[in-house]
Amino acid sequence: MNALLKQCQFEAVRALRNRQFIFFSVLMPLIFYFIFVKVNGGNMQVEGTAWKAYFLMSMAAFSVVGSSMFGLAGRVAFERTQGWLRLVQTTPLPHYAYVIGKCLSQLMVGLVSVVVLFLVGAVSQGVDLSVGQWGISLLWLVLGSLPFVAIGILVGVLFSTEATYLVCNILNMGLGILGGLWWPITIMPKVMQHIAYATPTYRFAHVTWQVIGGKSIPVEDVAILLGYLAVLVALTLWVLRRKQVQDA
Amino acid sequence: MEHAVAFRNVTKRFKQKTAVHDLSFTIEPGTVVSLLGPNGAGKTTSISMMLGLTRPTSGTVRLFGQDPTHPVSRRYIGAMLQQVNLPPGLTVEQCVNLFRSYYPTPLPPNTLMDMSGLAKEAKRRADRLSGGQRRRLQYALAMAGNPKLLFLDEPTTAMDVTSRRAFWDQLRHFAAQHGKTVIFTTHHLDEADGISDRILLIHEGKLIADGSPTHIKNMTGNRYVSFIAGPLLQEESLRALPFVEHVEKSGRKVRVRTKDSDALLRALIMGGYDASQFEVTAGALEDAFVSLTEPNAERKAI
Repeated sequence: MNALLKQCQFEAVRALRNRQFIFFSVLMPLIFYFIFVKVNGGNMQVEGTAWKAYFLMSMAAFSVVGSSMFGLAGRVAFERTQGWLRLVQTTPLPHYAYVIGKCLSQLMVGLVSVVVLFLVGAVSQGVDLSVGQWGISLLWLVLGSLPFVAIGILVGVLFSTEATYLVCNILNMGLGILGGLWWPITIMPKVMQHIAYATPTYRFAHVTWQVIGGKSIPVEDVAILLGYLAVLVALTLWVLRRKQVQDA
Repeated sequence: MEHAVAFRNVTKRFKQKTAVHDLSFTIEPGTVVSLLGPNGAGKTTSISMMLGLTRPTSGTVRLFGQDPTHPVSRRYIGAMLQQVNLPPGLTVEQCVNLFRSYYPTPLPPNTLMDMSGLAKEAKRRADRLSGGQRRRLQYALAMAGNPKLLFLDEPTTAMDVTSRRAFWDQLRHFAAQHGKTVIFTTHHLDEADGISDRILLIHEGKLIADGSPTHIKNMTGNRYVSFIAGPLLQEESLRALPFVEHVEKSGRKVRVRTKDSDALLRALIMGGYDASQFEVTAGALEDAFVSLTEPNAERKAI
């Protein structure tokens, strides 16, 4: 237990000390938030909510999706290829503690960035939501990010440290745009809307958009994200087993 | 008493090649053993199997009677591996504490810092240390759990001469005081000669020599007669002498390898060769290493 706590603590320290993290998960979403609120007007109505609230959720989702993928993929790839993982394997730390430590610390990192984004949004733009809406959105943005944490780990298992940045960039921008994090999918062509429904990013952000619109959490979104998570975990385990066979 | 390490008919086959071939040996607790051999001899593969990182294709490996891949085995081992880069973002102290948290009975942080000579660097970022300092931090990580059995795969790479000496002094002292078993590899054969109680010499996946450094040095039966050559000494006539196996010259200093140093000396002196300041030695560990692992090169040299 002590080992798991220390593992989480130090993983989080490492993630938060990374300057890229601060830029990509806090500054960049905030800059885009201010630009797009300025351009469209904060009070524009989107799916029954004000744009400034809607887009704050979009950018919070974008931040969490990005930091989960970038942060974990880079660290996992580094530790896997630079001998650190092999060294850790000689210690009594159980494999599950290593993985859980990585996941939990990433959720903590997500929590920190979402809180910062919410505070800045609420104070600067006067985003007006109930305590319940803030709370549920925050909780969802943290817990619902697990499929993206899984993507990050899988990318880290598959690619070299340098390649993970490229792969994550493509995934981050691609899934962000396709999933409607940059502009609402209602203004996209029908085909794009259908594609969006299939993306984990849309499902992830859609929950928060529903919550701030005063609706309940759609079961379908949660189910689809759980499906993604299950497939990703299975895929990662399969890849790891294959790699082990190759190495042996 | 239980063996610290036991290899029984261990073979490890990779796709194309056999890295370890039917290797059997045991190591008793409290011994300092060096695992030597040319590159690709199977040292790192053997250590990987002892650490439970890879399983043998056939045969068994045991640490204190237990399977090294079993989690319990990992509690009493510590390892310094080759080619490990420390992840960025943690200080020396945090790295040490992270590793301490993995073990049931870790050594105190201060002890570890002193042992590795990193007390002054405690607050520095691990990824900003010099090569030698990183190596010493890895030593501290290997010692974090107060291991009974310590594996050091080329521990002194990247260390300067002073650090190397301090490292081995510290290690020898620690191993002797607490009855630790230490298994290490090195390319500096003088280190192996000075530190080990026992040397296991591996070549092409097989054990070709096993014994104390003195035993290994005497194994070849080689003797080295060195002297200062005078201007009249003909190298050809020297080579023609009986028992001369190999002649090495650097400036006026000549070093002759022989199986019978007495006979050679007699021949040199009785024959009136222009030579002075004779010296007879058993040769360094390196000489034995070369003779034992490179039979072809030796034949060419003769």
